[in-house]
Amino acid sequence: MNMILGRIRQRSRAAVAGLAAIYVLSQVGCGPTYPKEIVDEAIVQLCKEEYALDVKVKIIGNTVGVYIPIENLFDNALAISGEAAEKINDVLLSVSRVTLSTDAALNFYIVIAQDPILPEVEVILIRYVRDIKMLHFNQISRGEFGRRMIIDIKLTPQAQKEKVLRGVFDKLNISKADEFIQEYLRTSEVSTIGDIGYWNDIFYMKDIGMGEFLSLQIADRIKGKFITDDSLKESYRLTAIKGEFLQEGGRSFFRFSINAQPLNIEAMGLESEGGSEVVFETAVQEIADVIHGYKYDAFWNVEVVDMISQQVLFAAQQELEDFRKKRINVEELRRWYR
Amino acid sequence: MFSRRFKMYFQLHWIKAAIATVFFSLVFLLVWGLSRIESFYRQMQLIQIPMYILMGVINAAVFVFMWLFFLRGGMTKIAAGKVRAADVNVKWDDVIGIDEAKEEAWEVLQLIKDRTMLKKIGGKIIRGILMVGPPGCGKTYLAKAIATEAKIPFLPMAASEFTEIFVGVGASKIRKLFKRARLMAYGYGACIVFIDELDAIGRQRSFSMYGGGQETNTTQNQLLVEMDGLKDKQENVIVIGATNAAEGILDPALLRPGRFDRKVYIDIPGVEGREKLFRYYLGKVTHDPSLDIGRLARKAIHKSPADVENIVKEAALIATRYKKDIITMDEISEAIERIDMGAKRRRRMTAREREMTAYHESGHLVALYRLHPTEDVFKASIISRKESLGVVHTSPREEEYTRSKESFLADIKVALGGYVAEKLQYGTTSSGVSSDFKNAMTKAHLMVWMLGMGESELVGDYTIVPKEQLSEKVREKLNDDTSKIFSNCIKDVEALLKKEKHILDRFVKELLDRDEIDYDDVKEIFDEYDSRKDPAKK
Repeated sequence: MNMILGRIRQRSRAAVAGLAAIYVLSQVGCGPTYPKEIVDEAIVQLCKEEYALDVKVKIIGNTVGVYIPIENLFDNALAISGEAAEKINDVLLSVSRVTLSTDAALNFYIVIAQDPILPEVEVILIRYVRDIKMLHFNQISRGEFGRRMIIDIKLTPQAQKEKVLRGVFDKLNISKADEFIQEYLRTSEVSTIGDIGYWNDIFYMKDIGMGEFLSLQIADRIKGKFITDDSLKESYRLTAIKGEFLQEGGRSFFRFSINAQPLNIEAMGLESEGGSEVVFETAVQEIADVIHGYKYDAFWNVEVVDMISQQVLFAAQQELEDFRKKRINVEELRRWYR
Repeated sequence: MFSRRFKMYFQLHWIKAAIATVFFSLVFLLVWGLSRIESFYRQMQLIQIPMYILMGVINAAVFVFMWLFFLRGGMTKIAAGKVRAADVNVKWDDVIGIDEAKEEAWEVLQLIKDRTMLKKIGGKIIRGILMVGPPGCGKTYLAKAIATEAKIPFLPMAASEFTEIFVGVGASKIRKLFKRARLMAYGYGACIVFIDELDAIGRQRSFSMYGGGQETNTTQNQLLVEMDGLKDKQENVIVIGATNAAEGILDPALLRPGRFDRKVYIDIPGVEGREKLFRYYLGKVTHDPSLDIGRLARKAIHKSPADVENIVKEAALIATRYKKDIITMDEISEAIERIDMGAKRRRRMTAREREMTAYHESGHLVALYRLHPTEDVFKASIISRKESLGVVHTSPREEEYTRSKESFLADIKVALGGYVAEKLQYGTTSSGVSSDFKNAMTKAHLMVWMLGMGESELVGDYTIVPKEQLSEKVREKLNDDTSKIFSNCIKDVEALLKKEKHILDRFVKELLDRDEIDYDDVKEIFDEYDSRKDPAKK
């Protein structure tokens, strides 16, 4: 009996030691590196300490915005300069690290880069935090990861608005333009992603929703397709594309308005028959793939508007999935003229 | 002492210590490394740790397997684990029924305990103890008790573990065993190496030009060398060997002084020993308090401690089968019967066969009860067991170590009782007498040819003389004597059974009715008839 008890005691000791080791390991795994209370400070500190970059941070809801002023942001060709791109990458990396290792529920981050000499033009980058995790776990490729980020170079919306207002006030010879702007324009929350920006030390931001983010990403991707695909490039010139995530009558839906000018007879021929099959097929394919990639289902349907033919293609959520699985083709989807 | 222990532990367990050091260093590095990285990357690593561990375990298992079987000569590995005295836990008082051997062993134990004092006065330390005795008498148990009492480590090995196909493997195992024992002795002050069934490697060495038995010789030589080597070392290693082979079987070199210095003879227990054993083993089960343990001990003559333990275990099983709460004499009786006679086999016999068997067994029974001076009926049965259709099981009245002429004659008469009974009743006999005749003839032959118990003047052991050297006349005389013993015994039994035919018939009836009768019933019936004949006995 003593022998058995002795062995049990020995094994118990080993088990206790093993459990203690597991507990220690689990304790090491517990606790975020950047608690939610200090997320903004952490980003500022990380950028400062590791990359010597001074950034400003603002958090609204589940979205974190980071502003970085970069001298010589653009080169002579008005493209982002190599040095600036490196700095932007450093900021992206810092923000990624903090958003991954925090207990704050952050879904998106926005990086706004401006040249202090030319703040009227800004570079905006929007990323979905989960995409970074997917990349780390090899669930998406690096190429797909790149395509999932929204990059936009645009005139700073607030600068434009202020410019217009100041012009109006000047023409009216009224000197209260600053007060008016301060009163009505400098509200930091904006209603659309397009209005996001940084102007006069103020963040103009919103808490980004998934539908809105996807609509912009899909529009970007369709645009990219028309630019990079050889056969599309030869047949069409995409002059405009707009992605929206709308709500009407309690229903959420995507709408993509595409203006793709036909460049040759074949493409025009298709137009003459009243169809925009290539445009629709290209758009619906991209939409279906992206939505499936995100497993997004908080929407009723998708509308694709061909601005040339004024034809609207309608695909309900299930039809979109059927199309992706090649159970139906684009001709079978409903459509009408505006 | 502490530094010696530490050194010993290190030498014994340095591989374990190295593995533990590496393991804990790795754990520490892992913890430290993980604590230095950000929580997301940390979690990523932690998620993968179980997979790494699993892969590591699989890799290690494959590596160890390959290493043991292909690189390290896994065959020479000693299977014996160290057993410390505290783990053996057989107390001196637990050894019962072999008091004389215990006394001898006690003396040995005192010498082991007082080895320091013995060294001081220049006495010779005991190196080897040989325990000799029949199987099941508690040799291993006694060795363990010595280890427990002396509070020293105990390394048990069966000698058969040293015997291998390949020459040198057994010797290598011996070397490893003694190396370990010396280390243990270094750490604990002494160590007992127990080699069970020593005859497996300790038989007299044989030398064959074809190399047969070379492995056993090599193993034994190594054992001799190691035991000699013990003298030169300061470490106190005591070798206890156990064997049930006669001393003559073992190699004289093993038995010479300086190797197995002491011999402890462990014989089967006497009646007092058996009583203690029954008390001990029955104390572990629920039994009828009115059970006459003394009587039980007297019945279980020539039973070893292992037999007694087996009887009690078997009785417990029987009681369970009969859904009884306690063990009674009935279960013990059935257990003894099952162990001695085998399990019952219900063969279908014809009515005549059954009756003839009953007459046959009753013939044995009456002859045994009336004529045998030293044996009693334990049970008579006409239920078939093994190859026989019936049996009369006997038990000696007392423990005797010599046999008289009368006892041999009685054995022959009892053996012929079945034949005579069949002939008396039916005028013919059956094949059931074959084993009885063999038994009776063997004993008659033994009496005349070996023990000088024949009627003629020829006295001596004629079996050692080659038959061709014996004259025709001598052989004839010896054979005549054997035949006379046989025929006289038959006459005596015939006279007895004719005289007591009514008792014979009564036993036949009882057996046909009940299949089996115990000693108590047998005695009762004989007493009944005897009292009728002589009312004073009533």
